[in-house]
Amino acid sequence: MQMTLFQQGNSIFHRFDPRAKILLLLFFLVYIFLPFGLIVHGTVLLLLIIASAVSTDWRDMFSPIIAIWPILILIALLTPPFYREDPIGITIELLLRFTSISYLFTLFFKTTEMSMIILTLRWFRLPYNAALVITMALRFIPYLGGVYHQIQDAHKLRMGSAEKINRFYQKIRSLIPVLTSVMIYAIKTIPELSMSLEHRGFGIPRKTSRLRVYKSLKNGHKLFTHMGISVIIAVIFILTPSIFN
Amino acid sequence: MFSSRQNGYNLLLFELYMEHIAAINNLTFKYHSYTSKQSANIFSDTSFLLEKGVIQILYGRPESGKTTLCRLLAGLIPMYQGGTLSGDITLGEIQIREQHAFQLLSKIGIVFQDPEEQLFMPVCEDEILFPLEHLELSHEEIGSRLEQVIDFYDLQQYRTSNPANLSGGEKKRLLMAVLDAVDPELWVLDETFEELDINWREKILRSLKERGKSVLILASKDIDLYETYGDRFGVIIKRDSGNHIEFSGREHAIEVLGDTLPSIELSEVLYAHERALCNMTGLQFTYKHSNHDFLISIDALTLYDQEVLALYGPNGSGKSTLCKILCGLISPNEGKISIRDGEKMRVASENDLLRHTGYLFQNPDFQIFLPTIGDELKLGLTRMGIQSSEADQRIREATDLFDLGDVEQPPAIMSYGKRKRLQAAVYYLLERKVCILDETDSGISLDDYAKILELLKGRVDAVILITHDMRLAEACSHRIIEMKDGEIQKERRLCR
Repeated sequence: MQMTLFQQGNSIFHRFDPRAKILLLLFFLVYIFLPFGLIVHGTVLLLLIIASAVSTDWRDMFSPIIAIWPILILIALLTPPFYREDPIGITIELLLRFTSISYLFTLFFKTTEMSMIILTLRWFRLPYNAALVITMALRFIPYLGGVYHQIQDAHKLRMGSAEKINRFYQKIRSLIPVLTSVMIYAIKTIPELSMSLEHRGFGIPRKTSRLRVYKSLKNGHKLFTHMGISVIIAVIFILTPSIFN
Repeated sequence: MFSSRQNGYNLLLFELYMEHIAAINNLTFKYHSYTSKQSANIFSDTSFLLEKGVIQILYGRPESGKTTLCRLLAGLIPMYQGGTLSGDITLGEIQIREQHAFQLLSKIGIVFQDPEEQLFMPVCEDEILFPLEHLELSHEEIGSRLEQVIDFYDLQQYRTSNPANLSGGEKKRLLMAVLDAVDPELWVLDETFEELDINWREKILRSLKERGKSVLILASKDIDLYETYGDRFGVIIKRDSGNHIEFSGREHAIEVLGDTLPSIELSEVLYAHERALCNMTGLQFTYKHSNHDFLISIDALTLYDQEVLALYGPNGSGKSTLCKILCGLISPNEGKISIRDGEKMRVASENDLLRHTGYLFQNPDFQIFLPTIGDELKLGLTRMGIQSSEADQRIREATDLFDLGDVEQPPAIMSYGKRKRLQAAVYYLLERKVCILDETDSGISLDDYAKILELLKGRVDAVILITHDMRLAEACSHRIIEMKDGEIQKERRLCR
């Protein structure tokens, strides 16, 4: 099972300090929701697609769109009836925003190791329990994705064929048994996870030592430079819309 | 067999002469019932002591309550899985049932039978650090323990890997590293050695022995090394009123366990081209294994009609991946697989392979997903277009043969061994040409394994079994192929 989005690499995005990267991620999340118009949002998406292509395998360049296309279709179909003024423009803007968010997170997770994300969250003084919840989510969401594929394989083996299903409703129907199995597996995991956590010391009322925060991420010079670069990028993006307007 | 009074007397005598680490007194336990039937006692009025500084092996047949005992000792049951408990479990002065599991962190540590249930961090290094960070240790001490176990368990290359990406044996090694880093007073190992290869079994057991650790190993079958490294031997004796535990020596334990190497009747195999069933040539497949690329490269491998072929090799040598290629779950980057079609061999497509080969996953939980045993068994038959009455009859036959009991039972609450039998029963009914048993021997008794193998062998044309037990491979197969680093290292035909 391959259960992480992270892809090894040596791109600028891989080498960028995760603390600066997480701040840039937050900045762009807010930026995408600001009303800058189609040209700005289109430009942001284009830049994210280019960043995605140069940071990892260019053949995966459109994988975020492939992953969310059913939602994009739903947005495209359901948005226009709710707006009287410029329904097409609003729909395109929503599509651009939604796609940009997907690219943003994909780029972040593809170029940042999970362990570094957790260290970063701890560096930002996120409370221990909150960091643990995020850690678990980062571990178990892709894990359940892996379980989904294992169970899909088990279904294929049991059925004796990998069916090619073309119709949309048949595809949805074929997902139900696999998703049900994954859900049962996930529910079964809850008491086991609780047992395992408590057995490893979770719940002890005293303060925990945090070795890795102290051991890693000490490169202050790199952090300072990358934070500076992040601020410059943020300023450029804040000023850019005024050029178009 | 002792009455509870005699047991108490024996315990008293034992206490006089031996220094013990844990005492279990008049333990009676049963789970809550999930059906209308009253649940039976798992243990009834059983008492025993666990000695300090020795390796104790406790044998028990599948479904005898080994995992339940481990979790009772660690204070996880009845807290998390419910049940009615009476009697005392004490660790020194501590009454286990009065403690939270986290209060026992430095007292008792377990490695669960199924590693999937115990791993929860996104990287291996954090998995080891998690309990250490809860022990109030200095950073130097945490760092030093981390490096020591990473080094001993050879996990350097997996430090930043996701534990879920490791092979079964590597996961067990990681869990042993976690336990070793904490170094509790009592180590409880629930069938931990079954998925480990022979070198790791020996290395870990030798280290535990040399360091004088107090260890309780639960085992459903005997391995040679237990005799060498074990100091005390006990057995769980099955009784209708509730199981009983006795530490009465190795011979008695093995006799009660009744688990000897199976004698499988193997038919004669003709190693001739016209008897080839499946042929792999020039197979190449690269995949990302943790942080490095792993290459499977098989120049040529043929499986013959009526053959039982054993794949043997260390953890992470590519055995399971090769089998996934063979059953059509993975497409190789290069090479082809041909299967017999009447008189001729033809190149097989992915769908051909899926219909040709059955594959019993290492972890049965990924293969069992329906609400009842009956539903599990019926799914494939319905797909094959078999009439309902005929299907019911076949299901009855399979439940009898594989000793599955009531077809209305939910697999989710069945024991590990029974889930493995159900997994085998599913493929028994599917009538594939080839069946692959991926470490099916782990967590079940040898005679149960032999029974599964016999039944499947009689149903399919050839069987491939993956095992870490060379004695088992020698007893059950015609040919042994040893794999290492994704390649075939050695091939040995056995005289039959």
